[in-house]
Amino acid sequence: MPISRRLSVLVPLVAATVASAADTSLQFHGFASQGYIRSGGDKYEDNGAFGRDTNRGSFEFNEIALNALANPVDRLRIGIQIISYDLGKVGNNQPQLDWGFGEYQVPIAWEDLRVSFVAGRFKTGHAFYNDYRDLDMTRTAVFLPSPTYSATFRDFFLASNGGQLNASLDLHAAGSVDVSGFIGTQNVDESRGPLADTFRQGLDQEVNVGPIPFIPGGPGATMNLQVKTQFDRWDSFTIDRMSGGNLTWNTPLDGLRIKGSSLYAQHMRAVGKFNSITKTTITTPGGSTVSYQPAFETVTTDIDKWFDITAGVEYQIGDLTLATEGTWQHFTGTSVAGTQTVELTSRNAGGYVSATYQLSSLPGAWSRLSVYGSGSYLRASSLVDDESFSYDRGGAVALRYDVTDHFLVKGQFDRTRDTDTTGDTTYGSMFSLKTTFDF
Amino acid sequence: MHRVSFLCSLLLAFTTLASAEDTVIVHPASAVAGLGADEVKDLFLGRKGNWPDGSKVTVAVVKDHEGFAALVGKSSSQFVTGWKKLVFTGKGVMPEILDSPEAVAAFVAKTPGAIGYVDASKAGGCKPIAIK
Repeated sequence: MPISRRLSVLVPLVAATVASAADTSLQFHGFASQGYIRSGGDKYEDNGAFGRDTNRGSFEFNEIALNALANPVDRLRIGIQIISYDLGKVGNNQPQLDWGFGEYQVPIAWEDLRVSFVAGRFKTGHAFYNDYRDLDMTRTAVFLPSPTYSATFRDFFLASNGGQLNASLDLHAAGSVDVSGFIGTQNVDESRGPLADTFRQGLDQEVNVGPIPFIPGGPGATMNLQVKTQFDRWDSFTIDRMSGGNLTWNTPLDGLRIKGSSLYAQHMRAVGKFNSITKTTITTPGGSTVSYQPAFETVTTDIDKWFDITAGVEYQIGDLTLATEGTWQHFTGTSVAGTQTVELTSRNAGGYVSATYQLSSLPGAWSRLSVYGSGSYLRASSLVDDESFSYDRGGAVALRYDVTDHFLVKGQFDRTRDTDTTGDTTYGSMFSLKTTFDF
Repeated sequence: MHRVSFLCSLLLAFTTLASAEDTVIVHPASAVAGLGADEVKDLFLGRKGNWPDGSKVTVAVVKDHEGFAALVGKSSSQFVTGWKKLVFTGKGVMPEILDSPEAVAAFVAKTPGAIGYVDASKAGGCKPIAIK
């Protein structure tokens, strides 16, 4: 059943169930954002995260969400949020379940400890800001720093389907600790999205071999081979299991928190088809003959292990918020295409530092202005063939103005410098403008 | 005579100061007698969503209340942003943000499990709570 039809059944059902309970404190909230993005430089001719040439500007940048949330009985919370977003070729405003779960507060006699159990589709809590990635009203920046908040693995980070256990422990003079762990899986859209695009990398290519001596053709005969492959489609994209956890220490120093989180996925498996055509040119002293050999083959890519570990520190002092996070990712797997098997291994590490200042101490309308600055660095190595490295460095500055408590505008300028595995460097700059309404 | 007048003035000033003091209030039937400062912050900021008996906490505050900002250590916009994070991730139900202390007191008085922060003289029939 298509997701939109499933949601059209699910949403009224949940709303009716929740509304039927007495004193549910049922609330509805929502938000709508519209952005504009324009880039300059070679990097964005094929803007990887965006999947479009954004050098001419694009309005394919929005989010719309609606949620219903209630406490139907003591200790129980139930809610659902539907989101529709567009980010270039990702999302395309197909409505999907952002989160939908029930949460039960487990009765515990010890007042310092609170434990809850969540089942359904829930936010993973990975890193400081992934849970709020689509919520423009919660930050000044338009885009979060890419080393930790990768567009490629967006599908992964945001939410998971399964069960989650949360605990908070009051340490009194030592602050408090929040711990969360989950196990489940993930629905991945095989037809689109940056994750599916990552899996298809290397399948669209052209290889030329020759001229090489062609002995059966007689003295002086040579042969040239040109092999073109083109990805056709993914038939399935599955993840066997996904698990993760995080630990936050809210230190005794007011506003200072330290967080570590991890995600682990087993067997991210994509099975699809690709076309290949082999052009064989045999040249003899008497002339040339050309033949074509088409093929339609299956490709199976299986990432058997994928890790992400992120750690960070955030310090909020009055109107100033400082944050830094570091991320390390690693995966291993194989890709079998036709008769060829390629071992896949990749590691990357990156991080950022950021500062956000809200001018709330200034009088009048100025108090609604905030400024954000960020610098980031990413180093990626791929061991598909030989060890090779690429580096991305960048910085961003953003301004946000809250017109009212429920309506804001913001703009961001990003500048990046990327060095690919061959040592070539490209520069890019990107300007984004966004407005958000919420209720 | 002068001494009596001075004492009366002092008493009047004290009374005025006391009436201007803000206090945490809860529903009149609440069994809660006192709360720690950190516990108060946790309740108002949505970190704790249930009372010790398991009943849900409903927060009510006066919009742009400076005393409240000092109590929780968050500006008005930081407070609202924090709650939006909870609401849009399914981890909390938005507090009632009302225009006057009288409205907050009236809401707390009729809502079991509610907690608010108002001028003590406007607490109405709500139960004031001492902060330990």
